[in-house]
Amino acid sequence: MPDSVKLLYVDDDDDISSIVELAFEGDDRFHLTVCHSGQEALIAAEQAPPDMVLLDVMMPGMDGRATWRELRAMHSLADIPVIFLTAKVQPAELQELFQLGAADVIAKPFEALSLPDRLLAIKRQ
Amino acid sequence: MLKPVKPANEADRLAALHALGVLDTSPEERIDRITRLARSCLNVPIALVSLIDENRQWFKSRQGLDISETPRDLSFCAHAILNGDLFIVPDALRDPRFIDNPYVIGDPYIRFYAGMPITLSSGFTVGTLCIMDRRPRHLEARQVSILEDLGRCIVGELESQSTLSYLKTIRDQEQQLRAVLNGVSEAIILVADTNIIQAANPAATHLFGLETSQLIGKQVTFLLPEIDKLQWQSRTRAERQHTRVLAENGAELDVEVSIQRSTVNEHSMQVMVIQDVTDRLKVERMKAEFVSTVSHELRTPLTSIRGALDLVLDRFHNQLPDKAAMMLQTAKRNSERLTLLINDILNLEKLEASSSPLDMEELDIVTLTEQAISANESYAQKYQVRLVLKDAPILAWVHGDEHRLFQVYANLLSNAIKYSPVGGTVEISISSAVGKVTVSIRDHGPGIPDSFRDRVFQRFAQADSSDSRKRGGTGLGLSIARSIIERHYGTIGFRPAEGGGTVFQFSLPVSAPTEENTHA
Repeated sequence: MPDSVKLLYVDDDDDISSIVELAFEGDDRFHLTVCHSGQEALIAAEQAPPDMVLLDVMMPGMDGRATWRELRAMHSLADIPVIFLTAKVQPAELQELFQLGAADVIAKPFEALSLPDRLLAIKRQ
Repeated sequence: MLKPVKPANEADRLAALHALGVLDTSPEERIDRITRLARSCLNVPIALVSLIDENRQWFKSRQGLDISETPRDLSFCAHAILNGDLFIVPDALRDPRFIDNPYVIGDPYIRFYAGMPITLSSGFTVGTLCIMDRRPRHLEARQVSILEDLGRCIVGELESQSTLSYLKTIRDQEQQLRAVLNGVSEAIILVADTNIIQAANPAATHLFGLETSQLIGKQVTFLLPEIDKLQWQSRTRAERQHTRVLAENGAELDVEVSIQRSTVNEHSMQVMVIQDVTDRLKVERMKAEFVSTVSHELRTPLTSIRGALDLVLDRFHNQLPDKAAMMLQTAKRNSERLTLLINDILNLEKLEASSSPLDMEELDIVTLTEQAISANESYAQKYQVRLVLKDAPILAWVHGDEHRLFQVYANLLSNAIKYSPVGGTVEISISSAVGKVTVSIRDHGPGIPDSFRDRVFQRFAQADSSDSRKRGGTGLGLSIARSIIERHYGTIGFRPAEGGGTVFQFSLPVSAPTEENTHA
């Protein structure tokens, strides 16, 4: 689909990523690429630059913040929106993510079924 | 017998007598020495120091007399204090004022009396140094002079005694105050309007790492570099505020300071009470980190559970047997409840951490109440309950955190709705009194059982343990509401409503005068 949003989703949790994959299944508004680590995401982004990134914060090794810093450094990705998924929702933690340039922060547990609509709304903004 | 009249300045005279602090005290050698001298020099059997109070004459010193006091009306001395000069009765049996006095016609058979008034430096006459004899007589000029001098000696002794006693009281009080100042764990410093430290207690020397002599005379801003940010010089209320201390060893400490304006020797001063909260904040930070981590560990698997249940119920709903669909709905409902519970626990932890600030602003509580009612309307409709604003002033300003107070309304209104009968109403009213505004939320539910009243605001408290499942609460709502109101220096409580049901109400300090006109 030429008009579909190329969404790069990065999450080390297999259970959650399976659910997100299922939530986007059959939704031709999105073209979903799922990665399970920051390193994997950098390679995928180089091969096929995404339109937006959905990024889990707590990941082993390169966490969500570090992954986003690396992605943002890629010239073609400097202006794309990033949405963080996090279970840490203290004000200071949220503030840090917005300071990193988050277009939005989605707190866990989230409603997987409404995720595509929510991301599309953010993309439109 | 003529009763003595009372001096025109009697009330002030009595106050001066009582201020001496000698009434009903033990005999003292330095006074007795003078009465002994009077008796021997003037060759009389009786010499006394008599003090005249409201109803009696009481003898601070007595030579030759066994009784320690007599009624005032019968005393010679009550006559003697009426003017400042030596008062002499040469023969009592020839004086109509004393002719039938029981102490004249009976024991001790007084015939002669001479009383030198004891007039204090303040001008008040409190008693006499008097001599008595059992035979009529006169005093020679030399004897009058002796009696007058001895009377002045008594004045000197009484006043020096009074000064000593006053100094002792001051010393005692100073020692007590010093014991308190030395004993408290908070640092206390006295700061002049020039920002110079005038006095400090041992806890202050410990906190700043300086000796008292090094602290006194120092600019307070050297030790509390951010104190000016608190605008402390304009503050009159002793509120605790957070700032930093720069200790002598270079260490930076987190402290809470309360500042109270005071006047010392007609100079305006600030009393600053400083508490080191470094360790407490460290523990709070560790606790916040722990709560954040636990929250993460709970939320992550919950995401999978909720997501999986949502997807199965959405995508495979038609393929599921009825019983399986029902079980999955139950699992979904409980996963949602678990999410609420985690959110509430986090909220409560945040509220109870003193380091978590409120976003305070001037708010009209009436508008806020109307907005809260509107926001909870759909929830009330679900339970077929009506929310009604009954009475309210036009405006009532409070200093508060809008988001947090909204949470209080949500918790109180949802409780009232859940416990209301179908078709019932929840009545909200706002009233203002001196300095505070009170919001009442009344339901027509079953009321709170007596056995549960003490635990209503406790965490996870619900009257019936099945309530949380039946009515969908977490058992933390009222505890959160109380924490929020207390962070606003307000109060929250409840009472049984007349005719059944319960009234929950909270009061907040008003920040500006309230318009009393009400609308229904």
